[in-house]
Amino acid sequence: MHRPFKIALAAAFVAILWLVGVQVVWPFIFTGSLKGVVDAPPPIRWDRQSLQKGETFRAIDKWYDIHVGLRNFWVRLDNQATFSLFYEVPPHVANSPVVVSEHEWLFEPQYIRNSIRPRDISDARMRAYAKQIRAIQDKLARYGVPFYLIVAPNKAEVYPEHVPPAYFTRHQPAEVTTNYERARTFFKEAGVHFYDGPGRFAEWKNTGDRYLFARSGTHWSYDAAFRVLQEVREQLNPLLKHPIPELKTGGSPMKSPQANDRDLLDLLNLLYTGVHEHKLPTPHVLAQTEVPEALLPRILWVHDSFAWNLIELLYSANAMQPSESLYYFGVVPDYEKKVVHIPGATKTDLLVANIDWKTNLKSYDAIIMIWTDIAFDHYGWGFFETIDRELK
Amino acid sequence: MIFSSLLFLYAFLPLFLALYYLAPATWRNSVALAASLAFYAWGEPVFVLWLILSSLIDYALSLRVAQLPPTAVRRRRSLVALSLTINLGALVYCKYAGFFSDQLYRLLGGGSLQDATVLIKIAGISFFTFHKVSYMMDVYRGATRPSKSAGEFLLYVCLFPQLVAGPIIRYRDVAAQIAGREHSLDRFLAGVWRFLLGLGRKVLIADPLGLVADKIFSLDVGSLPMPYAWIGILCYTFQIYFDFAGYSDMAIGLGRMMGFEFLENFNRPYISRNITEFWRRWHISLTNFMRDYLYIPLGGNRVSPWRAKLNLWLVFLASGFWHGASWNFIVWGAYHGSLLSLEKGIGPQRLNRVPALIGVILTFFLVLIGWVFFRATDLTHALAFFGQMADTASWANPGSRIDLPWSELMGRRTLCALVVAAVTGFLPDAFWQRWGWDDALPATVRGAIARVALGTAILLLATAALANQSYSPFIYFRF
Repeated sequence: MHRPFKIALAAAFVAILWLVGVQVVWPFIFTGSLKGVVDAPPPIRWDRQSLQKGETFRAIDKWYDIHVGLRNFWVRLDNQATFSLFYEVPPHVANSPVVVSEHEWLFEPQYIRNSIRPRDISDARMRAYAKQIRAIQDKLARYGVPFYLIVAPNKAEVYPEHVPPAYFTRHQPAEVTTNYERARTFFKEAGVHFYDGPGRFAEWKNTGDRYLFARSGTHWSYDAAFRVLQEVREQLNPLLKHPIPELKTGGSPMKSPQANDRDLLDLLNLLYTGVHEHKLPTPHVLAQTEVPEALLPRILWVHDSFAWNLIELLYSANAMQPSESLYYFGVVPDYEKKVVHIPGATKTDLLVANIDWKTNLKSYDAIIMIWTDIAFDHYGWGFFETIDRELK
Repeated sequence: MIFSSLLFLYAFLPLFLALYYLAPATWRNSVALAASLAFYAWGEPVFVLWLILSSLIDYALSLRVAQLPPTAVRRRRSLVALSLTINLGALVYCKYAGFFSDQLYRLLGGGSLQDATVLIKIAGISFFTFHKVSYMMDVYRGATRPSKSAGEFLLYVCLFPQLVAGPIIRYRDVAAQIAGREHSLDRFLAGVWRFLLGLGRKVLIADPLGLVADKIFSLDVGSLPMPYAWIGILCYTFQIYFDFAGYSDMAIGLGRMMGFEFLENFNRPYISRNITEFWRRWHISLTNFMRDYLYIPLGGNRVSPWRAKLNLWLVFLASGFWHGASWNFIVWGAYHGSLLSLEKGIGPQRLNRVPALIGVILTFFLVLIGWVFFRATDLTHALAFFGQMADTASWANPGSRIDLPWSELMGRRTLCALVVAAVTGFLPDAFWQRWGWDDALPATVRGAIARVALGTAILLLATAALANQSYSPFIYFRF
């Protein structure tokens, strides 16, 4: 083999090492950003003890892993190679949040698990919980603030036929009664104002609806969320000082999945997603102009991630006043302890734990809480206990 | 720091290569030594001082041993004994003090002391201790002269490619190279290729297989269906080989980039036709060490047949214990020692009469069984695991017995890694030699292009896998 070729090879090897290394301090090749939320790496400490124990060096190792040159390209390359060749998520992605099923149906594993192995909660606990919610509902009503609970459906329960069959070797979702399905009776008994998302989705599915969830999303689709909003509006409006105006669309054209409808696909962090985007109806929401802003409802949201597209749709329809969102009521995980301003979802400086409820409560037309069955045993993330304590 | 880390690949290595090759030839050992100490200090900032100090003591003792006339047997022996006491004493204290104190505590009826024992764990101590022991013994026996300078001796002990995980190199094998070695483009490229090959074996094959093995060995062993138990130990069997051999490849490759030529440490052990051959192909540097510094001093083959078998068994008992301070490693060593003693009793002529295919399958099976002891957390776990491997009732419909879907346990990429591991692990020597697998570049243009393409693909995919390991996102992202 010719010497110049060998020199070129050796130089190329060293150049690749240097290129990636130099990118750490001088990122001259932009490789985009990665989707998803990650835990913060451990801080690099320079005190004597950390240095002696090697903690400083381990923290630098982790820092370097995160800041290595072209990192975003490497991550996407690994994901794309695995997805294209093996149609799965790389095995070394710890606690992978995405299960890839046939025809690009994507799921979060915890939803699948919950559909066949819900956490064990006794009837007595459920009944007490329903009574607790009713008591808070009554307490808030005395302050003139209606409380309304929206229970969101689980994609794995709505479309179990698209879940990889290997998950259902021991149990089928149809054989399993989820915690919410058991709790529904207790909620009705206790007189809780709630929206039965799982029940409604089961009915809609029976009519042949294929777009209640996007294949590439973990939350209800925008199309389904819009229908939920219309039904919620009908139930909630009689309780509101300022009712939610009529929600109108200019149709629901078939579009490639956007935002929430592709959150799992985005989380795969592939180099190219075009061929995996399956079109679905997407409501073109029309912003109402008849009702002035002062007469629109101001709603406080206490919620998990299913609320985001409801909130987005409502503000697109110009159907709500600016307000606040308490994402997971500020308890899980660390990065969401603050009150969030909506629309826009920007963090405020106020911690959820520091809210002055007596002062602020009356500025809301209603409090809407949203959770999925999977979050049943979070028991409202402490919201009910807080309200009970603060409104004594 | 480990070779298969982004920090090593894209910070330490390019910096080191630049400094090493920009330095004048006479300074290169100093650059290599400084880099090696920095490499070790990165993981063990305090114990690097112990490494230096103990090495300097050994060096001083070796000089004195070499200066003394051969007739001063007692003084020479006492100096060697002092060196062995320091080195093996540190090894025993750091690695085995917890085990011994725990056993003693149990004997006295006090339960377990594992959590209460204050242990000092020093990375690579098993390897650099054996380096120093082999050096001192060779100087004592006159098999090698003492190193010319403390710096050269320190470089031999600390040279970063082999410092933390071997291979165990004898001083006499590299002394001339430390004093002066050839740096050629061919050797550098051969080193790059060998390093990339090792990186691929470690990151793209061993690591995914290790995830499966880890999952299975962490499950409640009683609920483990038979196929899961077998796939777990099969994955581990290939993981440990590709991991260790991959690391040795990287060490040999890095050595070549610096102009060194280390001895091979693995030679396709799973194509062995018997256990004796397996140990000639598996962790060769350890086997050589045990033979030269333990088996032969115990009498080797010069003693009676039964004593030779006992010695062999004892050597493997010690070898097992060297791998880890727990009973399952001791049993693993005893298991291999017993098999070797048995084969010694059968004799090589009879062993060679066994058809090759049967011999390879049987040997692989026996080795695989041994790995259960090696991988299990303790002996109880190992025995329970054997029970599940034999639980034929759980063969059918294993998914109904355990809440771990097969697809979550073993994806297609991992299955592919297992197939690649099995195929390449069992290819005969002739295939690899014909391929010229260890050459810098094949002679033909097509071969050279294929080699470069494979090397590039390994570097890219391994880097991508390493980068992705550190990225574990959650879905909820709104701010």
